[in-house]
Amino acid sequence: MTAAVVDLRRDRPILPAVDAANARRQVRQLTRDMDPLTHELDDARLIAAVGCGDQQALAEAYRRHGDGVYGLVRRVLADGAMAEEVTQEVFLRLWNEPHRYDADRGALRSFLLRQAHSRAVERVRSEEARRRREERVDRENVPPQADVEQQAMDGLSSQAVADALATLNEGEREAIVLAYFGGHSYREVAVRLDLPEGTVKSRIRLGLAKLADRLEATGLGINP
Amino acid sequence: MTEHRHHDIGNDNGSDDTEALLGAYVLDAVDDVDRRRVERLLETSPEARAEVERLNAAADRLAEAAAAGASAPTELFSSLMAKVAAGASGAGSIGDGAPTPPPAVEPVLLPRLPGDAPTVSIPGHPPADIPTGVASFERHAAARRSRAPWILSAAAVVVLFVVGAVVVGNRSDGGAADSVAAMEQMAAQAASMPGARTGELTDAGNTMAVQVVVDPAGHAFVMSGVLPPLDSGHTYQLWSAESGTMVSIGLLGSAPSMSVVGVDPSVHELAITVEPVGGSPGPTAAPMASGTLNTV
Repeated sequence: MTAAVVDLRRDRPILPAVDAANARRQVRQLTRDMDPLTHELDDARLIAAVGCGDQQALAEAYRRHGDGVYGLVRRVLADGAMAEEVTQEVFLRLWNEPHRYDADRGALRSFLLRQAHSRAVERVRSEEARRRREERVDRENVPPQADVEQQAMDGLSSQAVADALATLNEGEREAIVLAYFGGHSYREVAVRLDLPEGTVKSRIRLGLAKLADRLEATGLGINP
Repeated sequence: MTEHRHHDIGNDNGSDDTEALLGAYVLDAVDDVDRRRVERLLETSPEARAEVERLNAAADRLAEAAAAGASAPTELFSSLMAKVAAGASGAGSIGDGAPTPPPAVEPVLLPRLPGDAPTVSIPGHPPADIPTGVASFERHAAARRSRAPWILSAAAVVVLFVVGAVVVGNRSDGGAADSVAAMEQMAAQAASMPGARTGELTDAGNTMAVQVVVDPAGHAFVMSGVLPPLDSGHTYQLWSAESGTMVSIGLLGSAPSMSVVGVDPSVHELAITVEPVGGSPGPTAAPMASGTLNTV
């Protein structure tokens, strides 16, 4: 590291100083007509500030949701570096295209987590396609689904969600877990479970509907 | 998708069949063709929209289960803000390749702020003439080091985390003024937090004072509006000055109003110098202002 040792007080200022009283007046002027604190802004105002190019507002959005976005992406993607890239992409997209968030349609957190999941899944698919091209992986090399499901279930931190998943029948649970946390399409899930695609579609849809019922019953359902 | 089984190709108008996809659609478990089919259905079917909304709420809870309690690597934030400050665009600048590691010893590049030019960058329209500068700080308590090997390899020497300096310049339009106002209020609140530190960076004659408030999390609000504007060839640069060793914290620009930078708890002495545009790895001039942070 380049560093220098200097005596901080010895030298005279290299620029003419301004009048101190005037300077303090300037600070007071700046602080007089204040907006609400950035970190108290609701989602709509926070994103409006992002739309105005306010980097601090983006930093605040990251402070609120960065860990969560990363956590979800990391769950879907095995590769930590890739998860970091996708997390950055989610927030850079928020910075570049804040108008895509509509506060009337839900919480910013849900919006970001959905974006994060979609992008993580895109990454899973493009990686799989790349691997297939490179290695010509055949179906015999597909890992046993039980391991993938267990891995996806491990460490789910919301007891309510884990409980709700646990109460689905096995077929519904494995289809949902493989699709959502494994990042697999329903067709891939069908291949893995050796089931007709129609069966997998139904299990995912029914299982998700049951999950919505159970979450509502425990007061965790539907965001306002 | 190459692994089609029982793929109902050609059944594009079957809304029943498309409805069967709603669950998979919500979980991002459909391909592009299926997605377009579902989206066409959603345009015309309020029932399908209602079902998707309901299933989305269930999926949100799955997302939250994975999200809750997670911690992103510390350097991810600084890397993101550096990209934002440098006017990076999301899709174009972050490709499929390996992430570019932040330099462990070399300084990270951040925007320098020209004198009278707009200094709050507008998304998608970064000022073309904004060169780059330096922002970095030394951090001793690296409790959450990255798993990335490029950081680990640097750890043997010194782990240097980079932090994006958020700088709002002097502008007369509402957006920047609001940002300054919001930051000023954050600073005022930060000063009242337990563990907050404040200081005044003054010149040798005590004719000018740059107020600094550091919240307990290490966000330093630097009320740099008292600094006289510089010509376009120079910028103010903030340094930690522990035991006289100057380590760059960030650039304040040539006509700043307010800056927010990361300051390590171990830093007590701060100094500001005037440097050539783009900043300097080490100070090239004596400090024009300096001072000490004290716990409130």
